[in-house]
Formats: sequence, structure tokens, C-alpha cells
Amino acid sequence: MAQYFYYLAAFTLILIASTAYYIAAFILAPRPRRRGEATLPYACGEKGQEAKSLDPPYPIVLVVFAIAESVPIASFFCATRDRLALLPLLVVAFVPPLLVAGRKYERS
Amino acid sequence: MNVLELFVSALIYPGLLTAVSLALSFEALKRKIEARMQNRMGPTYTGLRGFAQPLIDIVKLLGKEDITPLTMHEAVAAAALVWSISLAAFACLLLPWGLGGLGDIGYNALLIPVCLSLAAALLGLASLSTRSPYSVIGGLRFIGLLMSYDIGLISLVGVAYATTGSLDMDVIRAKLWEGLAHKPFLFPLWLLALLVGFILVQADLGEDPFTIAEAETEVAGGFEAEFSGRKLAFMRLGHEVHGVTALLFYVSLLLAPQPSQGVFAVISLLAIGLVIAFLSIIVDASTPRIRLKDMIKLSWGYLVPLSILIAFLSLMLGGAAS
Repeated sequence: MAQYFYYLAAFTLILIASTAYYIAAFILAPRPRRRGEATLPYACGEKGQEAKSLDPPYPIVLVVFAIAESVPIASFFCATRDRLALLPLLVVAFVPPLLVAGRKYERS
Repeated sequence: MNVLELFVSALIYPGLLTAVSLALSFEALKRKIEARMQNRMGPTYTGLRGFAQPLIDIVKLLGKEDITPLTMHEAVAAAALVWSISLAAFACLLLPWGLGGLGDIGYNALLIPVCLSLAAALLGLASLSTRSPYSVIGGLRFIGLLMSYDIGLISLVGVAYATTGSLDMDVIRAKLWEGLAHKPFLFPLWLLALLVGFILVQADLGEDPFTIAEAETEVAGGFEAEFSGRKLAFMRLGHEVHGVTALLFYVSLLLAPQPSQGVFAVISLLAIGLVIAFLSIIVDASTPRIRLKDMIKLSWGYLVPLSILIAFLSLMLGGAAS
């Protein structure tokens, strides 16, 4: 149990240090000189053409992404509860939808 | 473990500072070797033979004016970047260094790829948060790449588990060679895992032939388009820390440098990591980029099924033997 506490404390310390570094850079960096004049982001297309914005991301990508990300997390969950036997089941459960979604993503 | 040891482990060695130093060293090495291969000098001015150039680049970016497009969700981008670099540095802290650190909870062989996977996912999220066409395309390509190597990489943990009977990285590093000697029938699977793992780590590093995230929009900066100043610094640093930690994870999982305890454990891990980094840079400099469509085909068609098969066979054979 103490080990988990150390892990949590260490991650919190790293997060605080990274945030502090980001905030320090925010404070020390020069202010944006043209903040009030900010316009749309870089646009695709020809010069003079109206700027386009792109709404992220396609729903199918989010689905594929969520399934893909859930594999390592679920594996870890199985392992920490001594349910390693569930891993083949996990593969059977996750890989076919991933393959189908991956094919759809490829076509999108 | 006292509070001072916890602070030192988390922030200096083998935590944040070590992760950032290794990432910058890898970048410097990459620039020099690639330059040599292309008959150039590479950076020469800053530090010893220009090796401090990546550090100076990051320091310079941190002090630059931050230009943010109107459409960007600034809080999301900032939080994603900070969390990404923190998760990657935390994964570096969990590596089996053999000297110092926090020790293992028994499942670090799975916890490290989880942290690395989330760290990479957050970089993709930061790109998407800009809502700029260039960044969104780059971010989607980045996520596409992540999806194609992530599962394969985590499957390879199965080989180490089958060989050593543990998910504790310290145990894996100490007993991998002994395990292979006791279960020689796992050797061909281990060899295959080594090869597949190298390809997947190359994708994880975002090096050629897998520089897919920058394709089509590289003139504008790929998935880094719309990022400037501190955000660009954090984006680059997060990507580099993630890559170098993934490389060292691969080395300690499948190559298990010996000895596994003491000062020489750290040296052997870094030395073998350097050899693999060198190979990775050579591949990067000598191969052309493949298309995302081909990468997805290669990954879903061959690499992921192959790595799952390797893991499955290893677990079956390893379990049967013990």
C-alpha cells in the first residue's frame, strides 16, 4: 500500500514541477503584442480563399481511439487483480471491433 | 523511503530531470548522426560539438511570445501538454534502473506502457484542441499512428511474462536471460518479438518510416502547427521524453541489460539504449516515409496480429512448461 502512495506522490510532484515550469514560462515570456488582432488559424486552400476551420474529430476516430486506449488500461486492470487469464478474452473482445473500426477509419 | 528520497527520485533521478536530459541527448545524437549521413555537420555552435543545441532550442522557445489562434481551447491544450510530459517522465521513473527509484509494485511492465500510451494520446488531444485544419489533420494522423502500434507494443509484454513469470520490471530485467536458458523453445518467439518490437518502437518514436503525423502538412509544422513559444517547447519535449522512455522500456523488457543492480545496471541500460537509439537513427535517416494507409495495413494486417500471436504462443508454451 505504501508503494502505491509513493507512486501517487511521485506523479503529483512531477505534475506540480511541470505545471510550475509552464506557469513560469507563461509569466516570463513576453506578452503577445497583437492579442487584440488575433485572427483565424492557418487555413488550407488558395491565397485569398475564405479561411476554413475543421471541427475535430470524426466520431469514428474517437470510437477507435477509445477502444485502442482501453486495451492497455484493461490489461493493467486484469493484471493487478490477478486475472491474467482474462487477457485472451480481452483480446477476443477488443480486437475484432478494433479491426472493423480501423478499416472504417482507413476509409474515412 | 523518506521525503528527500521521494523528491530526488521524482524530480531528479530517475524522474523528470533524467527523462528530459535523456530526451534532449537523444535529439542531439539524432541531429549529429543524421547530419553526418547526409554529408552535413549538424549543430556545431552550442555546447561540446553542438550537443547542447536541443536544450538551447527548448530554452529559447520557453521565452518566446506565445501566439494562440482564436479557435484554440487554450486550457485543454496547456493541460494536455503538461499531463503528457508528466506521464512520460513518470514512466521513465518506473523503468528498472537498478539503482534508486521507487521500486516496483509488481505490474510495472503494464503500467509503463499505459502511461506512455496516455502521454501520446494527450499530445494528439493537444493538436485537436487547436481546431485548425493543419493541426487537426496532423493530430488525426498522430492518433492513427498511435492506434496502429499501441496494442502490438503492449502484447510483447506477454513474451517477457512467459519467460520470467512476472510483470515486475526488476524481476524481468534480472531473470529474462535465465528464463530463456530454462525455456529455450521461447527463444524464436523472443527473437521475433525483438524484431517486431523494434519496428513498433520506431513508430512510437515517430521516426521514419513512420513520420506520418507530419505528412501533408509538414510545411506548416504537422501536428505542431499553431503551437508556438512554451506550448511548442512542451509539445516537442513531451514527444521526445515519450519516445526515449519507450525505447528504454523496450530495451529493459526484451534485452534486459546485465547486471541488473548497481551503478553498472544504469550504465548497461544506457549503453544498450544508445545502441538501439543509434540503429533507430540509422533507419530514420535511410528510409522513406510510408503512407498512413499503408501503415494501418501493415499494422492491422501483420504487426498487431503477429505480436498478439507471439504473446499468445509464449504464454501457452511458457505456461505449459512451468
